[in-house]
Amino acid sequence: MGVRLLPKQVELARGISAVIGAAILLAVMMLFAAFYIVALDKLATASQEALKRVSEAGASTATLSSVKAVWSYDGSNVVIHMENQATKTVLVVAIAIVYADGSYTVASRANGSIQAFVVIDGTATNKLQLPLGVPPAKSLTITMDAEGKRPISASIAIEASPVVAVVAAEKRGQVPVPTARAVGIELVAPGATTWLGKAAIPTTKSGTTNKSYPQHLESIPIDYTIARTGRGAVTYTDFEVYPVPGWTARGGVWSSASGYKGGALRGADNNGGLGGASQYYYNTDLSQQYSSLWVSAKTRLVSGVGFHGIALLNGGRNRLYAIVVATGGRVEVWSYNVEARNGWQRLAQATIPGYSSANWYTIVTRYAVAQNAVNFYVYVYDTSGNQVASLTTSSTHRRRFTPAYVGVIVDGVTALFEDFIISAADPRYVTVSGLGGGYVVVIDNLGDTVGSAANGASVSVSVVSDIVVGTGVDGKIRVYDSNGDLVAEYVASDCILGGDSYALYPRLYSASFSDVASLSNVVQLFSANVSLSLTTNTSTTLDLYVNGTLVVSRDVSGGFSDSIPIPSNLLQGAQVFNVTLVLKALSPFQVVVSVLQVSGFGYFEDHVIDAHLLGSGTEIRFYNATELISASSLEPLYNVSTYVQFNGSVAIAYNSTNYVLYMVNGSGVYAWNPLGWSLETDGCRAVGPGARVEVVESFIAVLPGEPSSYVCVYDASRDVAYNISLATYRFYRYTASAVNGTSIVFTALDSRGGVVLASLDLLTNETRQLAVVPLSCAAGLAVDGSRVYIVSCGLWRGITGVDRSGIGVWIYSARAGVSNLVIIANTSAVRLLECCDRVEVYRNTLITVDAQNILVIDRASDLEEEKSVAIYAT
Amino acid sequence: MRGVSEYTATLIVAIITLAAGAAIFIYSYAIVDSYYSALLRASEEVEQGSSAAILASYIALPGTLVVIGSTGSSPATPRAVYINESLATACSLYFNNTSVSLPQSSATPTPIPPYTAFVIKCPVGSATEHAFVKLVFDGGEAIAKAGRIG
Repeated sequence: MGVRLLPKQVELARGISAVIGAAILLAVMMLFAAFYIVALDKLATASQEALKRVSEAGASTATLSSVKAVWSYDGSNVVIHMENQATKTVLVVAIAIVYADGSYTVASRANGSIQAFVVIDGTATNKLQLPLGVPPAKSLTITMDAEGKRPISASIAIEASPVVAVVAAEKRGQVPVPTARAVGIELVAPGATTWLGKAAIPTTKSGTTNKSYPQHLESIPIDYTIARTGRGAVTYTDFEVYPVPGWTARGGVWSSASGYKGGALRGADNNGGLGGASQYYYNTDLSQQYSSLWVSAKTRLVSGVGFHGIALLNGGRNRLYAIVVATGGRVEVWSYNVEARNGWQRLAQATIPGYSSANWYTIVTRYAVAQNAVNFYVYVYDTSGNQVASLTTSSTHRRRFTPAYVGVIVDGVTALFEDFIISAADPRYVTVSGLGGGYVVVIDNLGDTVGSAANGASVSVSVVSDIVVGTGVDGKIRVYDSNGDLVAEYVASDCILGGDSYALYPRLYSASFSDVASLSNVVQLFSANVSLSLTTNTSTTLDLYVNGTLVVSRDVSGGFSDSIPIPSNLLQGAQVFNVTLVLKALSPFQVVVSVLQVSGFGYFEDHVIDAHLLGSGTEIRFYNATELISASSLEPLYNVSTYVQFNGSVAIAYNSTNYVLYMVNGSGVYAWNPLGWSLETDGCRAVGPGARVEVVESFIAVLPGEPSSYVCVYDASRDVAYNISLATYRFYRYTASAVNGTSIVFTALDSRGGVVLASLDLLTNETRQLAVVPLSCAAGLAVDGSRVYIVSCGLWRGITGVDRSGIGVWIYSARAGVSNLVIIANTSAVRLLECCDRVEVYRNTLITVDAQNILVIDRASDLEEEKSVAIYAT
Repeated sequence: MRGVSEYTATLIVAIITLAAGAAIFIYSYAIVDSYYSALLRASEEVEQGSSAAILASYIALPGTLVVIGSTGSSPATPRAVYINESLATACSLYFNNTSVSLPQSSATPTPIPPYTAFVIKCPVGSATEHAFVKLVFDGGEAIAKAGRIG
C-alpha cells in the first residue's frame, strides 16, 4: 500500500518533543529573566551605595565649612579657638603647631592626656585628651604653651565622618606677632573713660635765678637827720627889724629899710657918735669873754662920702677900730683914739677892684688880741661870695684895746647893713659832717643856693654871700647822696648862720637785695610763690616786691622762712620775676638770705606731652603715653578730682589748643584747668550710659548716651548749644566715639538694632554711615588716619567679606568708608567692663583699658593681613 | 534507515540549549557582577581616600620636608611620598613611637591606627623653596604644598 497514516505513536512522540521544546524555551526565557532581575538589583544597590557615599562626603564638607577656627599668640601661649556652627558634633582629632625655627608640636590620641588649658563652651579643664568632640553650636578654646618659641602656624584636624582636616594657619611664614601687655592701674571702681593726645601737664617749675645763695647782706643807713652840733655866733641879726633888741646907737640916724634880702638897717651919719662918726652896736661887753672874734656885715653905700662898715668899741666906748668900705673903693682899717689920741688913724687899706657904690660888699674880719698887738684879718666879698679884697693889719699902740662892743659904723655916709654876725667861728662857712660821698647845699628863703660843697666826711660850705642865711629864719640845708637823691634836709627853726656846725645822723638802716627769677616755656601760670629763707640779727621789717609791686610786708626777727604767694594779677603773661627784698631796722644789722626762689604752677611748653587721660573712679589721671607703651607699671603725672563717678554716663575730652579738659555728666559740660572746674554749658548733658564727649575746634560734641538719638553740640566761640538729630541712629550703652578731623566717628544702633559706624561732620552737620560693624557692641573706638579701631565686648556678627568669627575682645581695623572690618588682634586677656572699655591708638600701639589694666598692644604694620585666617578642607 | 530516536534528539537538543543558555547567563552575570564590584570599590574609595589629612607641610632647614597629618576613624596605610611628581625614596614615617621607611611595598605594610597624628620627613635639596607633596595611601592620596620656613 502506498500511503499510510502516521502511526499514533509518532504523533505522541512529536507531541512530547514539542512539549519538551516549549519547556526548554520557557526555561531559557526564565534564565534570561532571572539574569536581568539579578543584574538590575545589583546595579540599583551599587547606585544607592555610590549616592550614599557622595552624599556623606558632601555632608562632611558642609559640616567642615561650618567649623570656624582661628589662632593667636600672646607671646607665651598659642590660643586656638574653634566654633562648631554645624548641626552635628565634630571630633577634634589632632593638633599641629609649627614654629618659626622649623620645629613642631603634634598632639593626637597617641599622646594620651597632655597639658593644655581647654575651654569647651565655658567649661574649663587643664588636660587635653584627643579626640575631643565639640557639640553643635559650641566653641572650643585650647591654650597651649609655646615653649618659648614663636609659632607660625596652628592647625587642627577634625573628623566629621568621613575625616576632614581643618587647618587654621597664617598665610605667611614670618609673622610679626602682636603682643598684649598689661600695665596695672587698679581702677578703684568700675567704669573708665579715656582721651589721648597733646595735653599740658600741670606742673610746678622753679625759676632760674641770677645769683647764688646764701647771700650775705650788710645794712646801710638810708634815712638821715641833720642836727646842729655847734654854733659860733655870739650874736647876729639880719636887721629885719629896727630897733634891734640889745643894740644901742651912738650918734647917727638909724632906721629900717629894704635890704639885699628882706629888711636892712639904714644908718645915716650925723657926726653924733664916737670920733664924729655914728655907731650902732650890740650893747653887750664881749671883752671879758672873747679876745678873738669874727665879725661880719654886709653893707652898701646909699649916699655920701666917707666909709661904712664894722665898728669895734672898747669897754669905755671912747676908742674904736673901724673895718670899713670907703667910698673911694677901698677896704680900710681905722683906729680912733688909739694910734692917735682923740683922732683917727688908718691902719691899713686895700683897694677893692671894680668897686661900685651900688654894690653890696660883705666885710669879714677877725680880730685877735695878742700880747702886744691887736691883729686884724679882713676880707671883703661881693654878693656872689667872691673875695674882692683882703688885708691884714695890727694895732700895737699902747692904747690898743680888746673890743668890747661890736656894731656898725657910718662916717660921712648913709649906708645899709645886713647879715651882721659876731662869731667865735669863721662865719664864712657852715660845716657839715657825717657825709658819705654826697654833697651839701645851703639854700636861702628864696630857694636859691647860698653855697654848696661836695665829698668828704666833713665839708665846709661857703655862705659868705649870705652869712645870716635868708632872712634869718628860713634857710635850709639839704644833703644829697652821690646819685643826687635827697638824703636829708634841715630846716632851721631859728636860722642858719655862718660858723654853724651840722652833722648828718642816720635814722634808719636798710638792706635790700634783688634777684631775677626766670621761668622758661611758660604757657600759662595759675599760681606762683616766692620761697624765701633768711636770717637777721635784729628785728627788722621785710618788704617783698615782685616786679615792683609790694607783695608782702612782715616783721622779721631772727629766722624767717616762708612761701609767699604772688598775686594772680602779676602772673598774667609773666615769666620773669624781679624779686626785691627790703629790710629795715633802726640799728645796723646783717642778713643772710639762704633761699630765694620763685616757683610757678601752670602749663609749660616743655610739659605739653602726648598724654593718655584716664577717667576712672572719681578722678582723671594724666599718664605719659610715651612711657605707657613701654612701661610695666606707671604712676600718673597728675590727678584731677572730678567729684563724680565714671560709670558710663560721664565722659571726658580735651582741647589741645587751649589745654582745657572737658567732662560731661548729667548736669552739663564742665571745663577744668588747674584753678578748678567750671560749668561750661548746661545746654548739653548726658542722659544715660554710653555718654561721650568730643572736642573739634570750638565745638564740644556731646553724645548723650542711651537712649538718645541726637548729638548735642556746644559752640564755645558763640556760646550756643544745639542738637543735631541722627534720625535712624540711636545711642546705647555701648556707644563709642572718636574724633577724625572735623568729624566725630561713633558707633550707634540703626533702625534694625544693628551696630553701625557713622560720622558727623561738625562743620557741615552731615551724617554719614561708614560701615556696618560686625559686633554686638563696641565699647572703645579710636581713629588713626584711615583706620578705625574698635574694642568690642561680645560676639561679632558676620558680614560680607569677613569670614572669621571670634568671641571675647577683638580689635578691628577698618578703612574709613569701606564696610569691611578685619581682625587685627585677639586681646582675649582683656577683662571686660563692657560699656566702659576704651581704646586709643598711639603710634604703633593700641592702648586699651579694661577692668583692671591698661592693656598695651604692640601692632606691626599690616598686622591685620598677617592675622587673616584661612580654612582648608580636603 | 533507522534514524535517531526523536526522544534522543529532543533530549540532545534540550541539553544543548540549556547548556548554551546557562553558559550565556553565567557569562553575563560575571560581567554584571564585575561592574557591581567595581562600583562598590569605587564608592568605598571615596571613603578611604579621605581617611587621612595633612595638617601642615613645610620645608625646614636644612633641606628636610616635613609633612604632618592625621588619620580619622579608619586606619591608613601610607605607601609612598611623591615630591614634585617624583617618588621620594628616602622618607621616614613616624607615629606613636613607630618608625617606618617609605615607600613600603611589602605584602604586609604597617598601617597607621585611627585618630593618630603622624609625621613624614623626607630629605630635599637645601635650596628647595617650594615642593608639591603627594602622600599615597592604600586606597587614596592626600596632596599639599610645602614652603620653606626658618
